[in-house]
Amino acid sequence: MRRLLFTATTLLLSANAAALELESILERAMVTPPARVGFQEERHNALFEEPLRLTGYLEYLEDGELRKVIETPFAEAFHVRSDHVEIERDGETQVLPIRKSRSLKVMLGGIEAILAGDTERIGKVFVHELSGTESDWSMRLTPRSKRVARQLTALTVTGGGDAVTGIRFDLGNGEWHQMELLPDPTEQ
Amino acid sequence: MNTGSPMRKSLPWLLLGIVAVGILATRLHLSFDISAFFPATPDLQHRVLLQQFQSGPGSRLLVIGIGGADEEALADASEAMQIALSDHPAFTAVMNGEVAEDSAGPPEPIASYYLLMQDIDYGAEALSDAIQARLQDLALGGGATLLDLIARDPYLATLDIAQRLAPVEMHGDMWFAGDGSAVLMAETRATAVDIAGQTAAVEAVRDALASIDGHDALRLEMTGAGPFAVELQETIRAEAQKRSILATAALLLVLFAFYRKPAYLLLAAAPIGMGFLVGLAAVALLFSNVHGVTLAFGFTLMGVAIDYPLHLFSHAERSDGRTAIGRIWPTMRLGAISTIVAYIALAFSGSAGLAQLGVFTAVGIATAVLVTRTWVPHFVSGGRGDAAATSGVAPRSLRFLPAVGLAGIALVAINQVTIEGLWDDRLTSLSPVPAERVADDNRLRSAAGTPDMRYQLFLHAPSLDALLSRGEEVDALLTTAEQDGLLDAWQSLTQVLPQGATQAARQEAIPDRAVLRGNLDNALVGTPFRADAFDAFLEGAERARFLTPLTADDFRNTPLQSWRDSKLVLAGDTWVSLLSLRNPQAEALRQRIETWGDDIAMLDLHESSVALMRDYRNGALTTVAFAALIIIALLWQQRRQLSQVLWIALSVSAGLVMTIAVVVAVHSQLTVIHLVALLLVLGLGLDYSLFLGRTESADERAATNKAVLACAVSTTLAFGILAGSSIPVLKFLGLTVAAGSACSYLVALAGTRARM
Repeated sequence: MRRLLFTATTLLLSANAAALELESILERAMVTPPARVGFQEERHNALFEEPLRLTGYLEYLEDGELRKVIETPFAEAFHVRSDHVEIERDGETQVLPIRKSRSLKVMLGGIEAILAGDTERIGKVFVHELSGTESDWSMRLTPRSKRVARQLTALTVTGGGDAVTGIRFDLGNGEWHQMELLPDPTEQ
Repeated sequence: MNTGSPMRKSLPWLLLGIVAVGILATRLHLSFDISAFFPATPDLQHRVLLQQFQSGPGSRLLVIGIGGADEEALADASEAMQIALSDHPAFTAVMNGEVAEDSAGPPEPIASYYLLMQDIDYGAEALSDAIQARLQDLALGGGATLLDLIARDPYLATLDIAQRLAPVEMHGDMWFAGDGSAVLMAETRATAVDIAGQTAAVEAVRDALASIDGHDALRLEMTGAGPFAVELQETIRAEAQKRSILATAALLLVLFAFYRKPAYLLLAAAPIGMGFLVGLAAVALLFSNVHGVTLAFGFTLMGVAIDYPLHLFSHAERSDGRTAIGRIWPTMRLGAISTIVAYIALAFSGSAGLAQLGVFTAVGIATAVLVTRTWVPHFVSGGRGDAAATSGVAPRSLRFLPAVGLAGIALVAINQVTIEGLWDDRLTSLSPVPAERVADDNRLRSAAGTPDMRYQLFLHAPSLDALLSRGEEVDALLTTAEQDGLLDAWQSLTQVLPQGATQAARQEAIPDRAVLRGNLDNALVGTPFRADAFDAFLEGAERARFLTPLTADDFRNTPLQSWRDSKLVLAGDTWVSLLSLRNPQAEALRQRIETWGDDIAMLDLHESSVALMRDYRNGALTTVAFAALIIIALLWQQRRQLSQVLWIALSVSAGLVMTIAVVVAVHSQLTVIHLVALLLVLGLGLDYSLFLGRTESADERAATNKAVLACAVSTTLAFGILAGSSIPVLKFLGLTVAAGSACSYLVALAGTRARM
């Protein structure tokens, strides 16, 4: 009985330790808008012989507003506002209401929660798994929703010190996107 | 009283009652299709419109809303419902907005025939542009569904076609209404008018929800023509039960207050009951279905039929029943025949619903008056008094005319001055579906983005080939109209079913596999795509070159069958294509379309339904006017006194004018239902005027006054109870008859009190 109690207490303590660790990592990696980082991205899927390589920058403009701007090999922008997404291509803008795309809402909400260091919101959307050290950590997030999981198997965020350095999106069927985050070139 | 004779006299009526019950037991099929009350119209446009309303795909859409939990739980419930109901035989398709994993591709026949459904440039440059655009798509999006689609169709032509034709928005994500409810659209196999089929569908939805874990917390809503019909059936039944009990209690009270003989309560029920049974049996024999509203109109019959025994009871206070009926029979007969004439006219008004009402009431009244004449008197014990033949002067005057004249002038003014006029011709004014349920329906449907169906183009041709050929010309004209900003988009049959020649030309335009392979290889240079990434497209294109052209029959048993049925209708020997319009500039587009030929017209469903009801009402008015002439002729034939006939005609008309004034004051406008109710008021007014206008002795005058007062009080009370109903049809009927009974009585009384 005593042994059982000891085991349960240890388990509880270790769970608490993990939560604290997540909080501290996110607190240090937290981004306050407005903020901007560069990125290099590789997109792998069954149709590609070699990955599609993209470069550009990400902007966290304000709460609920994110922007991904692709600069090479072509120009394209993906602007997330509170209730809709704008896709800019060839000088034209296409608008998609987020309300109608639940999975998109969940995914974008999850990313924003990471940027904002909102552990409670992350916990609602994802199951998290931490590994590594404080200077070189990796956080694997698995969607709680079965429907979202059909489109996003896992989201892996890596970082070191006080910054997120990379995000990997696994979409299933051998499709994955790896995004490396770079310091904003305009700040250098 | 001789009891042997009455029993013998009862036998034929009892036998008739048994036969009527037998007919009802074997032939009574109830229907709650409100469109039975719409006119049978010879107009092609209106015929197609009504056909679509009754059995078109829109009428088969059952909208399901699930609320009461958080979004994740509702999404789980939506998915479970979609899976459970998809296999249920009551439904042909069940959608919740998500694209199923195993059927991610476009539906047939689009998947096989998409290359024949629109013009495509297979040249190297156009193909290169398409490949580049797909690369940009994959820079933002991804997932198995998109990859599969791009591999098969680098032009994304299938998406263009599917999105253009979608009756609802299928963007791959679950539908949620503004209030957070998960929304599903289920297409039922049964049409909206098939109540048994719709009831089964509604129960299947309830069962599916009940099988979900934690279903107790979930809130289920169902809307659409089918569920509304099922609800209506339940509401009409509950309303009819509740209000008939109340009305019967009120009648019994009046009867007892006036005559204080408990036996009369039973005797009064005989003509009403027999009239109801035989009238309903006649409808069951003549029509395949008996409408629920016809049953509810049993009240109508009660309103008139109760008058006959009341006249008998009053006059029997001074003589026995048989003597009394002998004295009042000529007057009663004349009133009954006149009312029957009015209702027979209704049977020819041009709608199955009103024809049923006409037959039901005419047969019911004939039965009730005959029961009162031949059966009831045997059970009415005599009183003492002066049973002498009639003499004296009929106390008639026209002193009510000035007041009634004023009411008439007011009505004419309302009709001329107000924007809405005297008549409400909206189809929805008759709809028994409460406004808040219609609002629920709109709230849920908006989640799936169902298009506004108000404006449609109506194109017709003598053959399907001619229709398709002409349809393509109209598509070209609409393209120009769209570029000119006259509309945002449209849906037409020829967008998925081009004529044979066009399909053949598009097959000709597809290069052979080697040429297409070469163009594709050039387009892939400098991209990360694998060389074999688009093999599925190459195979599809090669197959499309040798396909047998798509026909209207190829849509059968595909997900697009109901879409085809909503766009292609065979009305008699004319082929009709309905094109739905998104956000048209109605007036400008109408003017443009008027230059396109006689075979095409722009339908405004709202305007059309109003015109339909207006024509219908005018037709009914003409019928009623014709019936009025026959009644006057009948009065003349019976009475042969110009002053008497004129007095009766004027007092009945005055009662009607005052009734209309009261109804307009309360309900603002009149509908066809009010018109039908006014026919009953005409019958009541005739009855009151005929009796009060009789030339009779002072004793008889007292009996007549008592009888007519009892009639007016009972009818006003019974129909006043009906006026409180939540069902528009019953409410309109109740108020009109209650007010009509009171007004007709007051007018007739004012006209007879002058010299008393």
